[in-house]
Amino acid sequence: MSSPQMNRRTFLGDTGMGMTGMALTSLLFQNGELQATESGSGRHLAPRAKSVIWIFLIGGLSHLESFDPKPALNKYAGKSIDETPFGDAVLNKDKINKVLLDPSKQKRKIYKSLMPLQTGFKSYGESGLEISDWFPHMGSCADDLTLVRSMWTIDNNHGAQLTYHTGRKITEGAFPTVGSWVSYGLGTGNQNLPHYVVLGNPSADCCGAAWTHGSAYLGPAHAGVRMKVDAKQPLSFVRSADEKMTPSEQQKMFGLLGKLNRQTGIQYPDDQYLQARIKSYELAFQMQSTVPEVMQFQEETQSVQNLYGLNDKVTKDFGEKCLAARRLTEQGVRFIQLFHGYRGNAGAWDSHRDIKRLHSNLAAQVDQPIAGLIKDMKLRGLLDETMVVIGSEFGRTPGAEHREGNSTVQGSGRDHHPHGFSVAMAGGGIKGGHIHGATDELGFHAVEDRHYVTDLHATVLHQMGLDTTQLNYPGRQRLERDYGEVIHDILS
Amino acid sequence: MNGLNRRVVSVLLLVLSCGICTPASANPANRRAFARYFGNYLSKDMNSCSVCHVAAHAEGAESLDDFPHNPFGTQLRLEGEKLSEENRDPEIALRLKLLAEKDADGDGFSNLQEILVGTAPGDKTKFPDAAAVQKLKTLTAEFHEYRNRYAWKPFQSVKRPEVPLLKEAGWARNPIDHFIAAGHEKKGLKRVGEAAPTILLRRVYLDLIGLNPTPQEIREFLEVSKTNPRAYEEVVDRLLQHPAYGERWGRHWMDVWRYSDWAGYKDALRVSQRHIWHWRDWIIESLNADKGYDQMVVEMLAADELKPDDWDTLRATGFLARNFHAVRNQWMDDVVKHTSQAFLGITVGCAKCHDHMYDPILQDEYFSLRAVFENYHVRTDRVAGVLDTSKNGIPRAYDKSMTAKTWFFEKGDERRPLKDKSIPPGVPKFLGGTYEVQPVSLPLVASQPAQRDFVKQDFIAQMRGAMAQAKQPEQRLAAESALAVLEAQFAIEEIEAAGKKKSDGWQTAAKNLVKLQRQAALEDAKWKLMSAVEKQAQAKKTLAKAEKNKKKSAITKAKQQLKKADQQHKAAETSLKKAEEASQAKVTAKYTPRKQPTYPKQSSGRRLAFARWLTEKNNPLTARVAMNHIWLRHFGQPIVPTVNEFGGNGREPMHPALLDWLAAELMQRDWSMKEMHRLIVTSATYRMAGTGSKENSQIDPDNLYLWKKSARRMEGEIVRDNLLSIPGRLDAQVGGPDISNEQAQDSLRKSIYLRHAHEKLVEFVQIFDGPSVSECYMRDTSVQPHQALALANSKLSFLASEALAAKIEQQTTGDVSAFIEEAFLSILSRLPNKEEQKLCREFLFDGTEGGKGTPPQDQYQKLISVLFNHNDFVTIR
Repeated sequence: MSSPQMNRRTFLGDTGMGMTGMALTSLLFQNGELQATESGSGRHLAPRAKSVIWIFLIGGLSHLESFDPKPALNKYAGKSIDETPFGDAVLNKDKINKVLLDPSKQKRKIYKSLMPLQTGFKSYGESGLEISDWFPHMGSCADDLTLVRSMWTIDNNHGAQLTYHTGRKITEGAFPTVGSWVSYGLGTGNQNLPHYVVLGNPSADCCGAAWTHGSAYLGPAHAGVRMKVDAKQPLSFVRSADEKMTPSEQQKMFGLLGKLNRQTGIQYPDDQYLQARIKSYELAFQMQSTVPEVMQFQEETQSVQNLYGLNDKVTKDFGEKCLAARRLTEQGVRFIQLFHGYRGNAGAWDSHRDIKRLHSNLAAQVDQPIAGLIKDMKLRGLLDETMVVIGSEFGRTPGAEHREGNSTVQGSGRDHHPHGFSVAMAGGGIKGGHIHGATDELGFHAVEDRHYVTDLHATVLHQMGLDTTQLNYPGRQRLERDYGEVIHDILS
Repeated sequence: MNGLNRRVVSVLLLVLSCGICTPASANPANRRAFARYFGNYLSKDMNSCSVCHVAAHAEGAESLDDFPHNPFGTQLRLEGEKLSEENRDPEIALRLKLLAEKDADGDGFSNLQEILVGTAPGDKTKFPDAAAVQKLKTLTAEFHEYRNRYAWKPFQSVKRPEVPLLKEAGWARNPIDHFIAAGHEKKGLKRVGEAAPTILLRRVYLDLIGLNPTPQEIREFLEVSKTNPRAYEEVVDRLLQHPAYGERWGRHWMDVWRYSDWAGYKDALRVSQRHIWHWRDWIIESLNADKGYDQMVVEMLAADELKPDDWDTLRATGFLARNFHAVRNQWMDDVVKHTSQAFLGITVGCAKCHDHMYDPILQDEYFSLRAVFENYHVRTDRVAGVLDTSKNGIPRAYDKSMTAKTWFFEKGDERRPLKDKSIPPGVPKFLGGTYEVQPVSLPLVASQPAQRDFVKQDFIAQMRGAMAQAKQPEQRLAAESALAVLEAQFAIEEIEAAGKKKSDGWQTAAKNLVKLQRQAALEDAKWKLMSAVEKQAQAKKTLAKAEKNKKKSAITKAKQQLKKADQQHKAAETSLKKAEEASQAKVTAKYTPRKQPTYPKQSSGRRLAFARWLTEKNNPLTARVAMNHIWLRHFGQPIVPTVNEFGGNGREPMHPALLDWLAAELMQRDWSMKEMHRLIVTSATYRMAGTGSKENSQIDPDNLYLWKKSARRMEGEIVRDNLLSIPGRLDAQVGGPDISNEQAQDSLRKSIYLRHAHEKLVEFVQIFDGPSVSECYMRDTSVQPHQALALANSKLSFLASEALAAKIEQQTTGDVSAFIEEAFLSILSRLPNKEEQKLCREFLFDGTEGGKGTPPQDQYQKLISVLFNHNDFVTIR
C-alpha cells in the first residue's frame, strides 16, 4: 500500500482548502494510510460486510461445553487419555509443543483424567449444529452460525488475550489489533463516531490491557475508543461549562484549533499523536450529539428490548452492550469490540474449578443477548452486512484439572487449552448452519483445517473488503503469521 | 556456572537418554545452550537432535549407542573433551565459537554457515543453495553483531561499562551521549539538532517541576542565554531546588510504589489506610531534600526498625501500610508481589504456587520473602494536637509479633499450609548478597507511643479544655481531679521509666496517686449522679407532655427514656457508694495505671535486613530498576521495556550498557536522584529537537536509538495543574490531607493532593490515562475524543480561560498582537509564527467588519480556550 508522505504541502494544503469549522473530512494526515474519504475507496476487494461486532469472552470459554461438544468425554469420563484409543495421537509431545511460541517457557501440565461434559448438548435447526445446553438461544440461531472448531493459538496463558487480537505473544509487545487494521484500512464510515469502538471493560494488565484494543505502530488514531454504555450519562463532559456556548461557536473554535494544530504539524510531520489529536477533536465535536442519541435504548420497542434480555437482571448488562453495538453499526461504526467477563487478572471465564457453576452462570449472561443481537439484525436485514464473531483466547482442557494439594481445584474445572478451540460467527457473508474444521475425538488438538487466530483476522478483513496481504505500514515488517489466511470455506 | 557446565558435558558424554528422540525431548540442557547461543538466528530446522546426531537412528533410540553423533556432533564432543583436559570450561557456547569456521561434514561450508542457513552441518548431502549463499555474508555479519552485543546480565551485579569512543565526539556533552551516539553511528542515523530554546525550556520545566515556565521566565531565559552559556544549566539547578520538583517526581514514584488513599465503605477499611497522605508528604519532602534512593527504600521498608522514635521518618512506612488488605493472605501476597516488582523489577508472584517458570526463583523462596513481612502489621500513631486517630494520625508499620510463622502453602493454596515446614525469612539466592537478621530493641516511645511528650501535653490540654467548658461546678470539679490524676500518673511513669520503681519517692508518689484516683472517682460519681437526676427529671417531663398529647409513639419513646434514666440514676448511686467506701479504705501504693496502647518492645529486624540487602551496591537489580524508571519519565520510553519485569519473561533492553552505566553512576553518586536528573537533562541527547527526519524514520521509526527527542503527552495531573497554574489560580501549598472527591471539583490545589482511591478517582485526570489504583508501573498515553471533551467543556478549562483572558487583557490593554503573543507564551511557551498570528487575529475579529475596531470581549476568552486545547499544550516536546 503506497503512502504519500506527510509534508509541508500537505499540511498547508489542508489548511488552505477553505475548510472552516468542522466540515473537515478525514482525508487529512494520510501518511501511510488509505484514502478514507468515501466508504469503500480504500478497499482492495468488493466488501461483503460493513461492520464487525467482535465479542470477546475474557478468560477462556470451554469449547467443549459450547460449540464443540464431544460425546467421547462422557464415554471415557474418569479414564486417563492413555486408556482411550486416542492416547498416542493426543499425547504426542511434539504435537503439543508445536503450537506454542516458546514451549520451554510454557510448561503446563497435561491433565489426563477426562472430565465428562458438564452439560448436555443437542442439534439445532435444519443444519443440526450441535451446541451445548448452556447456549440454547444461540442454538436457536444455528442456521445463521458458522462454527470454526479448529482454532489454535501460541500461548497457554492469558497473554493469549492479546494474541487473539494481534497474533503476537504478549512478550513481543504491542502490535496492531484486527480492529485497528480495519480502521486503518477503511477509515470511518461516519464522521460522527469513532471507527473502532470498545464496549465493556477490556483485559486486565496481565493480559494485554489497552493493547487488546490498541493500534501500536498504526498510530493512536486507529486505536479503539472506549465508550460507556449508560443511557443516563453516556459521555462525560458532553456539554460545555460555558452555558452561552452555542454549537456553531464551538465549531468555529475547533476550526481555528484544527488550523493551528496543522501549523504545528508542518514541523512534526510524523507525529502520530498530533494527527490523532486533530482527528479526535473533529470526532469529539460530533460525538457530543451522536453518542447520547446512540445510547437511547428506550427508543427501542419493548419486544426488541426483551429480545436482548434488557428485562432480566442477569442479561441486562451484556444485553445493553449488544444493543448498543447494533445501534453503533447502524451509525456506520466499522468495528465494535465487546468485552465480557472482566474480573481483573485472567478474567471471569477462567474456570479452573467449578466450571459447571461458573460457566453456566456466565453463559446465561451472554447467550440471550448475543442471540438477540443476531435475530434482531436479521429481522432488520442488517445481518448480511454485519459480521458477528464470538470467541475467547483459548479453549479449555478435556481433562479435569487436579492440583495437588489444592482442595479447590480437584477435578471440577478445566485448564487453559491453546491446542484446539472454537469460534462462532454469523452474518457478513458467512455461511449459516456450517461447521468448519474439527478437533480430535477428545476435543484436544485441532486436526482438520487448523487455523491460527490471524486466519480469523484475515477472514474478517476480507469480508470488509481488505486483503490482509496488502495491509502494511511503511517501515514496518509484518511476519508471515501476522497476516493469516482467509478461511474461504466459511464464506457464503 | 562451572559446575553446571561440567554436568552438562558429562551428560553428553555418558548417557543421552532421548527416549523417542523428537526435537522436544533431546538432551534439554545442550539443546537449550545451543538454542541460546544462536538466539533468533537459529532456523527452526536446526532446533533438532539431528543437528548433532544421525537422524536416521532417531526412532526408538534409548542411548547414545543407538543414536550416534554425526560428524558435527562428534566434532562438538571432541572439542568438549579437549577443553576438559585443558581444565577449561567446556561450555557449549565456547565450543560453538571455536568450531564455527570448521567444516565438519566437508561439504565446503563452515559449520556456522550451515547452521545459519539451516542446512545440516553434519550431513554433507545438505548444503546451502545459491540463494542461501547470497544471503550468507550479511547473515554472518548480523550474527556476529548479535554475538558481540553488550551482554545484558540483569541478575549479576552492576559493572560500570566503558564509555564508548566516538568517531565524532563533538556532539557529546556527557557520557550518556557517548552511549547514544554509538548507536547512531552503528545504525547510520543522523541525529537532529538541538531543540529551540523555548521548547527546551518548557520541556525541562514540565519534566522537573510539572509546570509551564511563565512568560516572564521565558523572556529572562532568552535574554540571559545571549551572554551566559550556562543559562540552561542554571535553570536546571533552580528547578531542582523548586518545591514542585518533589511533587512532580513524587507523583511518578507514587505510581511505582502504588500510592492509594484508603478505600472501603463507611468504617470498613478494605485497602490502604486513613491518613496515608503522611506517606505522600514524606515522599515529596524526601525528594526535595534529595534523600538518597537507597535511604528512601530502607525507610519505606523499615523506618520503624531504623529510626523507631523519629515520627517524621516513620511516615515512610506508609509504603507497607498501603499494602494493607482486609484479608491477611491477600495483604501478604500484595506486599511480596509489589515490593519485588517496584524495587527489584521481578515478578515473584508466580513462585507462590510452583518454582518460577522464567527466573531461578524457587517456591520456597517465595515464602522466605513472605516471612520477611510476616511479623508486620499496621497501626495509627497520634500526631501532635490530635488525640483522636480517626481524625488524624500516622499509619505506620510495626512488628506485632516476633514469632509469627510462615507456612509453606502446598501449591500455593492458603488452605493447605504444611505445618511441619515453617519457612525462615530470606532472599532469593540467585541475586546474591547477604541477608542477616538482627532483632531491634525499641525505645519506650515506640512500644508505648502515648508516652511521647506531645501526647501527654495533648491529654492535659484536653482536660483543661473540659474544665474550661464545664457548665456546673460539679462537672468542673470532676475534670479538675481527673487532671490531677493524669499529672500524677505522668510523674510516676517518669519515676518508673528512670528505673526507680519501689524507691521511697515512688512510694510517696504512688500513694499520692491512689488518693487522687479515689478523689477523682468520688467527684466523677457525684457529677454523674447529679446529671442522672437531671436527666430523670427531664424524662419525666417529656413523658407527661407526651401523655397529654396522647401520641402513642411519643409515649413509648419517652417511657423508654425514663427507664434508661432510672437505670442511670441507680448505677450512679451505686458507684458513688463504692467510691465513698473506697475513699475510706487504707491508702496503699496500688494505683491504677494509665490506659494506653502497648506494643512489643522488640522488632524482628527482618525487614531492615531485607532493606539493607536490597540497597547493597552489589544487589544487581535495585539501581538498574530505579534508573530505568527515571529514564522512562525523561524520555517517554524506558530502557528495559518491561519496567517491572527484568527477568526471563520481560523484554531485553535497547541500551543495556547505558542502563548499567547509569546504575553505576547512581550508586557512585550516593544514590542522589537529583544528580542523575541533572546529568540526564543536561545531556545532548535530552536537548535534541523533536522534529522528524524521513531517512531516520525509515531506519528507526520508533526512535529506539534516540536520534530525536520524542514528544510525550502530559499526565492527567499535569494537564490539570497547568490549567490552574497558567492563569494564576493554583494554590501551591505543599502537603496536607487528601482532598475529598466532592471538594476536588473546585479545588485549586495540585492534583497530587486529590483523593486517589478505588471508586474515588478524579475523572478529569483519569481521562488522560490516570494511574490505576491497584498498580501502575508505566502509564499509557492514548488519544481519545473524551480528552478533547474534557479540555473543551470542563468547568476547569472554562475558569482557566476566563481567568487567563482577563489577566492578559489587563496586561496588553487592547493591543491585539500583544494579546496573542502573550497567550502563546503563557500556554505553549513560545511565540506564534506569522501564520498563527494571522489565524488568531482573524478569529478575534470574527464578526467585526474587515477586522477593524476591537474584538468582541468573549472572543479573547475563546482564543485562550482554543490554545488550551492545542495539541502542544498537552504535549511535552
